[in-house]
Amino acid sequence: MSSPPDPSAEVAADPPTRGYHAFEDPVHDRLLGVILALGAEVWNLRERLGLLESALARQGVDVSALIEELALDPERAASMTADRDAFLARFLRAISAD
Amino acid sequence: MPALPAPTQEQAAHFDYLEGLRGYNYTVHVKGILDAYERETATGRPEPATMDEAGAIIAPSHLYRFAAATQHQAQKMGWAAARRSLEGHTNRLAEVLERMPVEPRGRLVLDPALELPGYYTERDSEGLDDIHLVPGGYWGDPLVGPVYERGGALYRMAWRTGYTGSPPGALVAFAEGAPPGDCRRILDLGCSFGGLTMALRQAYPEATEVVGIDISGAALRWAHLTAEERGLAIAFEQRDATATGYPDGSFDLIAGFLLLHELRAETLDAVMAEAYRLLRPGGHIRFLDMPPYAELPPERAFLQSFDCEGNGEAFWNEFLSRDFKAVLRDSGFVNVGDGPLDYDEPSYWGTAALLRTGEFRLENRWVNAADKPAV
Ligand SMILES: C[S@@+](CC[C@H](N)C(=O)[O-])C[C@H]1O[C@@H](n2cnc3c(N)ncnc32)[C@H](O)[C@@H]1O
Repeated sequence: MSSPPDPSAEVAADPPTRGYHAFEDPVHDRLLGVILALGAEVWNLRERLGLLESALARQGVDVSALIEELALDPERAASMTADRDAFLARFLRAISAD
Repeated sequence: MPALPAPTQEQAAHFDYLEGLRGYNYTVHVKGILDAYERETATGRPEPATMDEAGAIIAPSHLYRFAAATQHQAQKMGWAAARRSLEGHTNRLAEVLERMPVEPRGRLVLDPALELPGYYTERDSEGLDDIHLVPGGYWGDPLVGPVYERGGALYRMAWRTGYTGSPPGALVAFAEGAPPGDCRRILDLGCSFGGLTMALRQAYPEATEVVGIDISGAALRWAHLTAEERGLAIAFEQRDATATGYPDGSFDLIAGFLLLHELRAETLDAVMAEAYRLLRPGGHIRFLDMPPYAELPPERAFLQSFDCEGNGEAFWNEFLSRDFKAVLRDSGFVNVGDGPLDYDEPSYWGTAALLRTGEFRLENRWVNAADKPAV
């Protein structure tokens, strides 16, 4: 997993546009990059969920009720926040990365 | 190859996604581009005769821009994903790279004093993307071996196989294509991670010496470790193919895979002069690379040219526009011939898997071969 955003790191207001871009405005290439990265994350989630459900079903466990319960658990919220920030950093990278 | 850290489920899912994305880009977008081109040119006007004319029709379309941008982004994402899958293991990998096999069957000879050519190291300052968009190119990252093993394999749509494990039989088929004769001393030019060198070793078990040279020490380390692990006796040496330092007539067979298109014209000429010098009279030389543009229909040639700008392949257009057979003849070679690699494997997509490889086509791999006159 990527590290969470480093607030002291400099992000250029105008990221470098050297190198290849397919659209006249390189911003469009970057936006496409964000969408594709997001797609990767969505795919991973679906894949992981599918694996999880299969694994649990193999053990004879029905998880639906437990999932509803955990979603609102305040203790879990703390670790979720860190994961979420790392996740955002990863897929929004395409906006500013070289 | 030395074991890479097993990817996590998340990383594996990411690699699978990127392969799927590429596959979609070829089979849907590239096909759509070609279909639209066919419709456009079927209207009775004279057909475009050159790749520039074909490009003038294709390049402005939104579909082409999306396909090209997707290709470029997927490529960058692939290397980043490969590098990320090694994070947290870099110390162990560095150790693996330092630790040399105790009883090697082959050898590794590095030359830290070797001067790297400007075309190789100065891309950034020239405002060019690094070769294949890999940060640091072939030389700037000591972990280039593991990075390619993963990311390069992804680029070949075979991340589960690994870069040095792909393309499976194509390289052996190419190596075996040399005419029968005395092939005891074999040299592979620009061997990087040793894919072709290992195929040559397999194809010529009787050979007394199989040598792979490259200017990237980090790549050679990985090649050496991989070959040793596979029990293949190969010498990997850090030498510049324009001036190797071997005596005249040292080799019976000289080969290269995907080297030619990575060289400037004048470097290519120097490599051919050196290869001529290194071959014994009557020796054979063969290269596997991309077909020249002149061999492709103009729209295919245009799509092929994407890599020049879109994949950091600075000398791609220069090489593919050139008459390489004439270069061989001018260097003194005879029996100069070329043609697609004869390798009948339907699942083989061509190894570079960029825009041009929307479908399996033999022409994705092109053989140039010649002999040095006997006397
Ligand atoms: C695409 S790779 C070759 C792939 C390799 N033959 C295989 O089987 O996978 C091109 C290689 O050429 C090397 N190269 C570039 N210029 C060179 C030179 N002047 N002498 C020797 N090697 C060179 C690069 O370091 C790089 O490893």
